Amino acid sequence: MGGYLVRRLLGVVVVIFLLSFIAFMLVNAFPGSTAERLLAEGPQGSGITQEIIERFNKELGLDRPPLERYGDWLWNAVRGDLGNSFASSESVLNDIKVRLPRSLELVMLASVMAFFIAIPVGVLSAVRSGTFPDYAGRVFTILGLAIPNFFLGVLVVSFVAEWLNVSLATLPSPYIWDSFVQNLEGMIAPALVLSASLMATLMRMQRSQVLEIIHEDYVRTARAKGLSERSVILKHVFRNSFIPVLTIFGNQFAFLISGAVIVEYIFRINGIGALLVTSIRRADFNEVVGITVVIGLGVVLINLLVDLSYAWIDPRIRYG
Amino acid sequence: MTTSDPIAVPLDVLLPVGPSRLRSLIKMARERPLGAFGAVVIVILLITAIFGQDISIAGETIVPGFAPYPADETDVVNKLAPPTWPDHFAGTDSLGRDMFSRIIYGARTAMIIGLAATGMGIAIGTLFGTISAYLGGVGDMVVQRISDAFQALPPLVLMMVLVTMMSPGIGTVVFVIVIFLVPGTQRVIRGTVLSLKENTYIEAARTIGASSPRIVMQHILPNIVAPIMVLSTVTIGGTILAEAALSFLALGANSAANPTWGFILFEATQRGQLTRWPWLALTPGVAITLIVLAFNLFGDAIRDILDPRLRGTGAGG
Repeated sequence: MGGYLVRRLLGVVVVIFLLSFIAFMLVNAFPGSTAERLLAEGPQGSGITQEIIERFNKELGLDRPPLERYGDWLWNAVRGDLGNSFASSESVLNDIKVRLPRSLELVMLASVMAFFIAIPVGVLSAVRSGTFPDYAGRVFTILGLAIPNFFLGVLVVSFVAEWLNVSLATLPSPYIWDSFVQNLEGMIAPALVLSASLMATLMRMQRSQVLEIIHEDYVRTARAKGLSERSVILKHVFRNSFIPVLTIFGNQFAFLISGAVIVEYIFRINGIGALLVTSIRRADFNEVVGITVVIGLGVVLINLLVDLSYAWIDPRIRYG
Repeated sequence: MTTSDPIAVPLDVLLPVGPSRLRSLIKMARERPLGAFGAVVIVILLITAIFGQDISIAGETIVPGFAPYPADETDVVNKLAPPTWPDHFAGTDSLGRDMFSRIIYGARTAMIIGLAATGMGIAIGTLFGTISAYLGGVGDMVVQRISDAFQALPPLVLMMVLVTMMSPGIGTVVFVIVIFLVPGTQRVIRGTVLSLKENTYIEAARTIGASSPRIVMQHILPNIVAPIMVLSTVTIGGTILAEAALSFLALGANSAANPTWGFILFEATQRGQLTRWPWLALTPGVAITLIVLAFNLFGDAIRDILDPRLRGTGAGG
């Protein structure tokens, strides 16, 4: 186990290193016009000359070769400094720290909702195959996978909010540790919108897994030795069906984050996704690279956790 | 993908030939009504994409389109008009442009991007996956680690960064979606090829002195046609969704004469007060949902027929 963990963590470091390199080079490969974009926002707007742009690039060090700049960036990043935002001159790490809690909460809330609804419905749908809960679950699955989260978000923000007579996109949203209730009021709707497609994916997987396992010999044995149906389903069927579901969750996590970016944008949640959209518009390279690396780290770590949890769910699995 | 038997599935299962072609199609539709529904919607969309707007070559209109109005024709007396038969079937937007026509025009962009990006993404992914699995060693490891890095990036984030740094347009959007499709595709194909490689007929071919390119072309590629087709059909829905998401963030292939569905929805959100003119959001939203639904259902049916083992692997999830 220890050796396995060390190897996997080394793998994480390698992937994050590659990812930061790819992100940095992508953002820098197309010279574009950071200066023009940023200066166009300022008061002097129209009077941008070549000279101003060159001075600007020099100040930010953008006139040096990309590889050299990546070297500097990496050296600073390893020591915990992701540079400063081009637009606001704030520390990127600080910007992320301020916004990360809301994004984390949104993603975690969505995941928890997805699991808590998808797993029981998926199991029920398979066990009572052909009944109403099964059909309801399957219709939800098909729709949940087809309806884009941005359309669902728009529907919720503009129609559901109207019926409920609340304005979802402008709810004040304090941190969860400042005001638990007020925070949840603002977070429930976006989290539900975000969880829809994950919920559908997990439900589908859970159902097909249970359908497959329920005909296994050991399930028949469990029934034959007189176990209650409840105990057969929970101890024998569910436990064995859960690992592929968890794997899918790991695979889907990057998509969940993509969804979170859009949901934050629609519901105007001040998280790192919304910050990313703004930063991309402004060609704020440091901010974009910093956020991308943090998000990538999250995705890789979640997948590591998923892999490690296999041993906990299925004691037969040992890591060597 | 640990099975070692060949994945070859006779293609006539999918494309029945002979005089009974129509009958077997009807039988297939009866057995998989959802898949058949998807196929019908896809055919309607294809017709709309091709014949909805004028087909012109070098500025010369050859076949006039069936869309009632050009997508950017404004009707100033009918701004934000609710759906009325037969003038403005799906209402008009805040500039008085006909929503139904705009959706028809959007179909072509959606289809071009959906097909082109999926085709190229799967082709390049297959190339990488096959070579990576076949050669193994250091090259394989490098390709896999780079893939890992790309897959740790949320797809939308990757695409947004790329689009912003390049000039927007159909070519850019296709390129960006291809970049995001390649890592996942190459992984699935690599797994399939790895298990194929263990077959004795590959070993036999090598023993009689067949060259690597010959083995790949003659023995491996024909056997991964089924998974490639399955992967392609289940991927198109996701590709169209990705394009729509980019357009929704105003980073897509939208232009005044050729609006994209995602952008039409974006415009609706900019207008606000959607409860007063719900058709602004519902028309593009339902169009996107319906076509993604159709491709998902059709893809599922194709997968069940061609390669049931891919069920639940999340391919295209």
